[in-house]
Amino acid sequence: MQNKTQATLLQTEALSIKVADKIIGDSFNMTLFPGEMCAILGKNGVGKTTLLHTLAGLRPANAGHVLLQQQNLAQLSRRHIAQQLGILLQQSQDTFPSSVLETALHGRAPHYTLFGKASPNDLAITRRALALVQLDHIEQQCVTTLSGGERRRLAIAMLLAQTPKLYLLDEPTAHLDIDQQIRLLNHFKLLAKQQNVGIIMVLHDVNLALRYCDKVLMLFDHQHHEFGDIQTLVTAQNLQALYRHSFELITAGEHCFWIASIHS
Amino acid sequence: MSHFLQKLSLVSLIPLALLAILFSLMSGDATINSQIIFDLRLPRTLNAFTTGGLLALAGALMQVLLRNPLADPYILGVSGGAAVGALSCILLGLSGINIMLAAFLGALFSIALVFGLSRNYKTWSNIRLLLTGIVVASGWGAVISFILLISPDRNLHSLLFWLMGSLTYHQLALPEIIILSIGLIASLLLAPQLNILVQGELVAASLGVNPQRLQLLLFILASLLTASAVSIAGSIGFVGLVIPHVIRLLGIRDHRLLLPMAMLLGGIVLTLADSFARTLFAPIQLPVGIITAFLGIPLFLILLNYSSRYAK
Repeated sequence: MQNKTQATLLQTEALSIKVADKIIGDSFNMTLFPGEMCAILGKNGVGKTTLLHTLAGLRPANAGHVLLQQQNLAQLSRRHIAQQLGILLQQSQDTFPSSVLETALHGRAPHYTLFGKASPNDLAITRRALALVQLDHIEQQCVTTLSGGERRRLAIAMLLAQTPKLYLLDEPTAHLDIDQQIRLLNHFKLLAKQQNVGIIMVLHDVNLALRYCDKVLMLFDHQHHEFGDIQTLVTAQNLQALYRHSFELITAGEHCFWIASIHS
Repeated sequence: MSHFLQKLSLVSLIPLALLAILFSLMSGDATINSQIIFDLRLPRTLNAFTTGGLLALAGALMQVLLRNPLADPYILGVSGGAAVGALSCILLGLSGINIMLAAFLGALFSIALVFGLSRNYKTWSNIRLLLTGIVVASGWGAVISFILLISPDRNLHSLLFWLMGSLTYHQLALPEIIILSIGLIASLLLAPQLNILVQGELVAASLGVNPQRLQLLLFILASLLTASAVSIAGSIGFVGLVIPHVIRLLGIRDHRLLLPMAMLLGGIVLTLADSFARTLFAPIQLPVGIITAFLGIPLFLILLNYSSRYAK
C-alpha cells in the first residue's frame, strides 16, 4: 500500500538519546511518510517525551541524526523547523494573563514577517482552529479562567493554527473527555488523509492507538525498542513486555479490544 | 480592549509625556527667568523622564526574562553594584560626573559577576540566574551597610540621599538618553519574540524562537538599561516594578505596544514625581524615590483591586 519511493517526512538514523547518564534509547531507526500516523507506546519514565523533544529538535541527540524532509534537523533554523513541524507539549504554563484568541494566535508566529504582524488570513486560520476545539465562543476570555481540559484544547488550537506538515503529540488525549478525545483524533486522521500530514503521538490507550495509527514505536525497558506496523506489533506478548502487565483480547462483534487482565 | 483602542492609548501617551515635561519646567518658583529654566530645569526634567523610561522598560524586560511578575530592574543586583561604586566615590570626596561613572562601572561589574556565576553550564536557566542575582544583590546590601557604618557623619546625608534615589545632579545625561533610544529600538525588534517567550521556553522553541539567545540578549539589554538609570539617579524604587503592571492591567499584553507604553508612562510618572520632589517642600528637596512610593503604591493597589473584579 505504501509507496516506498515517496519522500520521507521524518526519518531517524541510528539516533541515540541520553538524559543525564541514563540512556533512553540506542540506534532508533524509524521512518514516517506523509499521511501516516504513528503511536509511541511505553511505560511512564521510559523516555517517550524525551524522544519526542529530540524529534522536534528541542534537545540535541546524543548520536545519530533526525532527518526532517530529508534534511538534517540539527542544521535547520528554528523558524524553518517551526514552519514544518509542530509539537503539543505535555504541559503549558502561563505567568501573565492573556486572552484565548491571543494565545492561540501565537501558533501563527513561525509564519509572520519581521515585525510579528498577524494578517487577516492568520486570524482566520486561528479562529478555525479554535472552532475545531470548540473554544471559539470564549475567544476573549482570559486563559487563567479556563479549566484543565479547556487549556489543553487551547494548546491544541495553537498547534493546529501552526499548520505544520508533521505533528508530534505528547499525550493529546490527556485531560480531555471521551467526546473531545474522539473528535480530536478524528480530526487528526482527517488531516493525515486529506492534507497528507504526518502524525506521531504518545498514547497510553492501546485501543485508541490501534483504531487510529498505522505504525507503532514501542519503547521497552533496557533501551530495547520495536518499530513497525501496529497491527502486527500489538500482541499479548509485546504488551506484557511493554507494560509488565498481562493483557487479554476481548472480541465484541467484528471489533477486538485489549484490556488489562483482571487477574494478574 | 480592541486593538485600535490599544494603539490609541499608546499614541495618547505622547502628548501626555510632553505635558508632563512642560508641567515640570513650569512648576516651582515662577519668577525665575528663562535662563534658569533652560540651564537647570530642562536637563533635570529630561533626566527624570529618561530615568523613568529606562526603569520601566528594564522592568518590563526583566519580568519577561525571569518570567516572574515580581521581577524589578534591581532584582539581579545591578543597583547594589552601582550603589557601592557611587558610595565609595562619595566617600573619596569625588562628585558630579565621577559618581555617575562610578555607579555605571559598579553596575557593569555586578552584571558581569551575576552573568559569570550563573552560566556554569552550557544551558541557560532563569531560576539559577534569579537565585544568583538575588544572592549577589544581598551581598551588595551588606557592603552598603558596611560603608554606611564606617563613613563619617558629614558624608552620611549625601550617601543616604543617593541611596534613596534623586535627580539633583543636573547635567544633561546624554549617554543615557542615547542608551534609552537604542534600548527602545532593540526592544521593539525583539517584541514579537517576547510575546512567544512568555508562553514558556519550550513552546517558544517549538514556535521558531531561539530561547537561549533571546534570554541572553534580554539579560544584557535589561541590565544595561538599569545600569544607565542607576547612574543618573541612584536606585528609585517602584517605577520599574509597577509601571509594566499598570500597562498590563489596562489589558495590553502585546509587547510591541507594552514596551513603548511602559517607557512613556515610566517617563511621565518620574517627571511628575520629580517636580513634586522639587517643589512640595521647597526649598528642601525630597528624594524622588519617596514620592514615587507615596504616589504610586495607593494608585497601583486601587488599579489592582479594580481589575481583579473585572478581569475574571
